[in-house]
Amino acid sequence: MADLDELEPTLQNIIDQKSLRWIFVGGKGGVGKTTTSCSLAIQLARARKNVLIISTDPAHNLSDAFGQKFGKEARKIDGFDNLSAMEIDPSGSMQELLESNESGTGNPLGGMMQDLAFSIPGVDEAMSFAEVLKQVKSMSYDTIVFDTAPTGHTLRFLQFPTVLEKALGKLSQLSGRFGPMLNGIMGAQGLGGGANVDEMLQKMESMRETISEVNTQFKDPEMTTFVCVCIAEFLSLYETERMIQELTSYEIDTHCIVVNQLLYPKKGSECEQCNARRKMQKKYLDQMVELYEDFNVVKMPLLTEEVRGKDKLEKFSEMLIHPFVPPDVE
Amino acid sequence: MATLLILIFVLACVWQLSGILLKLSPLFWKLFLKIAPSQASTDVDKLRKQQAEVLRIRKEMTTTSSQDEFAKWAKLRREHDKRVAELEKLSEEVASQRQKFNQVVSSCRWLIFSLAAAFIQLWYRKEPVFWLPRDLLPNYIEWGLAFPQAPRGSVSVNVWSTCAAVVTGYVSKWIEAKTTRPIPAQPAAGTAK
Repeated sequence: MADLDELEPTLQNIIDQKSLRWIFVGGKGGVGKTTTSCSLAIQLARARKNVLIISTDPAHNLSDAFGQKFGKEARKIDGFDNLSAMEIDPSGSMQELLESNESGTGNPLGGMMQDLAFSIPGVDEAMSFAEVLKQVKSMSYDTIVFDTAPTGHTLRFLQFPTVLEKALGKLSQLSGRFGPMLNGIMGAQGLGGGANVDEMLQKMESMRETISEVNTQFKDPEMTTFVCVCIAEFLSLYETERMIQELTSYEIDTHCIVVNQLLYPKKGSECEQCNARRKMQKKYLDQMVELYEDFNVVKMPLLTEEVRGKDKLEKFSEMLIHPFVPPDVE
Repeated sequence: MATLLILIFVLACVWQLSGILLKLSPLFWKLFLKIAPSQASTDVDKLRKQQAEVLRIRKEMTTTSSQDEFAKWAKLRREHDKRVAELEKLSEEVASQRQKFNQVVSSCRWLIFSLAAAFIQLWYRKEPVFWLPRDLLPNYIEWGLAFPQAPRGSVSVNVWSTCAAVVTGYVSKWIEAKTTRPIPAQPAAGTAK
């Protein structure tokens, strides 16, 4: 292997790329996504003015990682003055959206929104996502790190802007034609009145604008990147490959892979399991180096303790930047 | 006289037969691809090659262990996915070209046969196709059968053409129904007849 071709095994390039605004961290469940995203956010906080970390995973792990409770509102993490965190529940905020729409009894549009939410797969999450993005946009963060839910979910999440933009575009086009007629009918029957139709259309239009703006930002490699987290095992690797292919098809930039939980048993170690595992991991690592030659592949060791709390995370995060050098490896 | 009878009947048969061939078999399309070197024929060649390539990659994928040679396997898979996407695009292209070809051919077919039929009906409008036995049919039916200008007591070209069209039409419908029978039926029975 030509070592010259291999890219630096660190995430320094992400820290250095000041134009980055959205950083997604994704991978299969249990590979250390939250730890990685928190570590990355900590490192980013040292180079940027203001960093936010958002968890969209229904099983919120941010609170566990920092030992502090987070909610829907962004809150400063203890011990940092420019690092905030928030946890959002995609399905929860859709519920709210629906409820807020169902003001007044017998409003047919509330029902329509509900139908819409069920008829287009994923539209509920997309809408809540858009809401969150609107919130985030109004706040002044330089960089936002997303600690995303497991793979399939994540990808659907990222695909939404495109899907929804199309759907809404069509809808607003239709309503431009039939809106007046609808207004007339509903006004005549006293069903909520005509103002509602316009109001809803305006809401949708503004949502569409937000989404299309976000979409263009996501497809811009200067502003958005996706960090894949995996472990050196077949299934994880397989999922990562699939994810990278899909991300490429969505035109979302990805050029970093973090390999977690690597074992480096000491030389002459008697631990049978460790040695066997090391051998297996090495096999997959070699395959990865061969396959992802244009990626920064960061190798992170498996520690003997859980990475929780500010200090341990800070220590761990150092290894994202300064490659871990295993002591004596066989 | 007899030639006229046969000519019209044969014309009707050919019309129906060409319709069936156009609808049910790729004969004309294949002929066109062979004879005329066009965008379509190069596309079809490409399609064939691409299909063979995809099959080859698939075979290679099954003989490559995804666990022991992940990098190789993943690269094969990328290649495979890329080619399958291209293949789909290409086959869509070919299908649309084929449809266009079918449209052109069926309009040509319609034009040629319509002209031929119109010519025959106009040219031989005063000729009797065959004579009916005397006093077999009432007067007004005889008049109808000789419509428009054939001598009274005979069958005109127009009427004979219509009859031939109707009869061959029924036969061709029957053949079509037999050959495009749902799959579970004996496949050879319909075509052997």
